[in-house]
Amino acid sequence: MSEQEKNENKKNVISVGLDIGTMNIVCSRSDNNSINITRNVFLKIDKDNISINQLSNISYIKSDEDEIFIIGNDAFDFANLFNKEVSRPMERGLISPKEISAIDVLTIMIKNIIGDIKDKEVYVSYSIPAESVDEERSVIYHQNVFARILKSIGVNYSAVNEAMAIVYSECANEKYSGIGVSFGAGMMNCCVSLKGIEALKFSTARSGDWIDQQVAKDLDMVKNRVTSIKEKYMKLTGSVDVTNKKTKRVLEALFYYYKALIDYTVKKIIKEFNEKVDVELTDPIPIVISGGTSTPDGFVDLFKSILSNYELPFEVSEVRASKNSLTTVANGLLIKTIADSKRI
Amino acid sequence: MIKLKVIQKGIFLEIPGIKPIRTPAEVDITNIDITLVLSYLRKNGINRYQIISEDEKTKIKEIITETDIKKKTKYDSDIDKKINNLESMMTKLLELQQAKSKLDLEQIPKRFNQLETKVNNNISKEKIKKPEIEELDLSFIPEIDLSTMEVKGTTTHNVINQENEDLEDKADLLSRLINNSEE
Repeated sequence: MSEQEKNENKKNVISVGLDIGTMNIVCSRSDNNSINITRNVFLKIDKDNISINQLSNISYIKSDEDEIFIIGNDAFDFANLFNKEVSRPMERGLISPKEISAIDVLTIMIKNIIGDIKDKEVYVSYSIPAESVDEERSVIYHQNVFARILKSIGVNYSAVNEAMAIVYSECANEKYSGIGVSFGAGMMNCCVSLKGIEALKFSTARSGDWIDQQVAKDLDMVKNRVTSIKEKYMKLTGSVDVTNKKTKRVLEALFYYYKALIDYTVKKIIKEFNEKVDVELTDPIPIVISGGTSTPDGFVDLFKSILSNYELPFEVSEVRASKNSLTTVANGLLIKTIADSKRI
Repeated sequence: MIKLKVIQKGIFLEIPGIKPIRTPAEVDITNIDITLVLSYLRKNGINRYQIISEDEKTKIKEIITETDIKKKTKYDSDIDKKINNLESMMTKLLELQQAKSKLDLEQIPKRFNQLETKVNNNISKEKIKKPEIEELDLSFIPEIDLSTMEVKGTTTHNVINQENEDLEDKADLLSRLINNSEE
């Protein structure tokens, strides 16, 4: 094959990293530098309640039966306008059984965010969580739903653990030996990687939503209100920059439960490592933290502080945050897809 | 002279060697084999009889009461049953042993071949079954039909631009590491 033919073949092969999260769907492609992000929500509205003008600047799906589904970011705006709740295809990290009938809408959302694939050979690595160690929830169904979605779109697909994708994105300097920890909304995912091979992976049901639920219960508040305060004011540096007493009390409670979450996670990492990893690690490895729940200032320092209270079965070279908690997983998935294409 | 005296009424005696006669009767059985007579009497359920011999050397068989006969016959029949059962068990056992002894070295490879064929048939059946199970799993996922749906309007997802210069290098390194570990 000539160089020209090789180049042409290369142009026709597209690698894609697709991070399917509870809050966001993030997609990165090998043929451009932009990463697409959309909210993983949609809103079904009655066509009689909306005019063509209102729909002109938003993304929506129209069915033969004249059903209208507003998808992505705009769904929230219109939900407020119509005083309705948005529909969430995923719940606590996995496909929601309540919304599985909307699989067509989810398929179109994913097809939309992947973009143009006409006349191209497309390979997609998509993120999946690991099996939970503290809750009876299987990921097999979730994995198979997205396999079916990607198959219907017409792409080649492969499932990759979400925390492992963090290692692919952030641990090239350590030759892909490291621990990836993703603190999402519904789940915490953890993966231990040794030279690019998964040595251990697991998830827990305690993460961002758990913190909000516990605080809401303790302070007899609505969970959404706690989430709103957390996103607006939360810092884990020890200082609280608000004067309102009620808000201050919420932030103090949140701080307590953040510590409880990190403590629980560290204990689980030690336990699972001792029970399931036979290999002895001779070299120190980094711990890389990502996910929306880890975004407040001071999270990584708090993690280091709690970690120092325990004797670990491995040596830690450093604890650091990922470069961009929103795009790290999609980036890592893209690297894996390209690496796999080189091995074929 | 030996006489047979049958007291039981209403029986038509047809002992070989003697003229048929209806009971109660008294017949001369001197010239007839005594075991034959006894066998006949037993076979026909005649249990009230007397055999009288004028010869002193011959013993007299007394008339036995019904209850004694019943007990005795019951006892006899039980023993007979058990002996018969034992005989049949012994016969079966002997037959089995004979059958086993017939299994010589030439038959063993035959049996192995039969077993192998059976196992292969089962494996091929299993292979056929597996795809059905996989299809059942996927049937829990609803079918996707995009033919009735159309995306309209403006795409409004957020776009982040970032440099991907070192993506290829990272992917190269990962690919090499995974290949090395597989070797």
